Amino acid sequence: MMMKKKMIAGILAVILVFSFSITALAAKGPGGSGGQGGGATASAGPGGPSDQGAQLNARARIMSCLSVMTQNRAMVLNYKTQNMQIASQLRIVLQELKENGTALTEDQLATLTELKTQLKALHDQLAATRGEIEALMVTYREYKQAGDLENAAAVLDQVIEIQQLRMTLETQINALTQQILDFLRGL
Amino acid sequence: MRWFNLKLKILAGILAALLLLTGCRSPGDKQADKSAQPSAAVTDTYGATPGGGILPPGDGMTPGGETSQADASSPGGQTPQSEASQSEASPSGGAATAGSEAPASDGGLPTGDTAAPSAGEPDSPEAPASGGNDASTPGSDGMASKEETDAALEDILEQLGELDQLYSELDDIQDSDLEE
Repeated sequence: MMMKKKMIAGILAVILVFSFSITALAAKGPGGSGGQGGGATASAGPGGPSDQGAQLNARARIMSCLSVMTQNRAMVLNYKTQNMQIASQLRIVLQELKENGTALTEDQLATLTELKTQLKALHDQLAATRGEIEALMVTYREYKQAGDLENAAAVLDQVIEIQQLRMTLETQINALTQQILDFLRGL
Repeated sequence: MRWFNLKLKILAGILAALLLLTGCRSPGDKQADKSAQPSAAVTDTYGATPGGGILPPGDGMTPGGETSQADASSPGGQTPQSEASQSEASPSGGAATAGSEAPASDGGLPTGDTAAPSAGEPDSPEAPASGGNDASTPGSDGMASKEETDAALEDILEQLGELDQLYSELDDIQDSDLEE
């Protein structure tokens, strides 16, 4: 009887140790796999290695965003240069038409008015983004100084969205300006 | 003996509590695994950056195209109204200038001549002269007046000027922000 109880106690002890080890593994597992799961364990224990993993991830996101933003800035500049070239050609054609006293037909005038309306709409949309990037970058610097890298990275994502919207609008503006130029050249 | 039984029961109770705790933690671990997947993806992206130096540009471009098209439709519907009011205003200006041209061609009879088209009797030989001016007025042969044309061309020029100014005012990231 005594022996049986001792055996039961032993088995219980083994189970106890086993459950402890499982709990320990569950807590350690994701964080210990090369930092990839750092974001997951950040919620489990702040200040530990998991927190460092989250910081590393956020830093990586920031680096990635900055790289994309640099490329976008170059593309925006490129679109701007293209627009200046098309616009200068269009100015010459417009000036020639005015000097020659060219009169449009009613249909041509309606088409030109419609194209100009579309151009103005795109202009207004682009103008609506004015100052947004600068404001977001101020917020980004504040988060970064406070060490809140995750929110800093989220702000950069928003900056990229604005850059992408601008690129799309500028592409459309260039296409439309070219369309007006082609239309007037065909008169 | 009874003391040993009590000890055994306490041990079993602790064990049960521990097993219960372990069971409670497991959903949390599952959540942690879920949140770990996106962050792992970010790490992959970053891993590609220092090596290649360039991120896939396709990621940046596609979503923007969709949003802007949706945006383009909404303001576009509003602006034609304001445009229509402009084009309505210009024909009246054209009519005023056409009227002012008529006396110049008729020389000394400004008042009688302006009355002539409405009366249509004694000045009928002079009517073709004013009729010649009418050819440039809107709607006679599908041609817009010169004033309307000039105004439209001027509008385009103005819009180009506004675009130039907008491009110069658009903000962007600064080099200092890119230093990490």
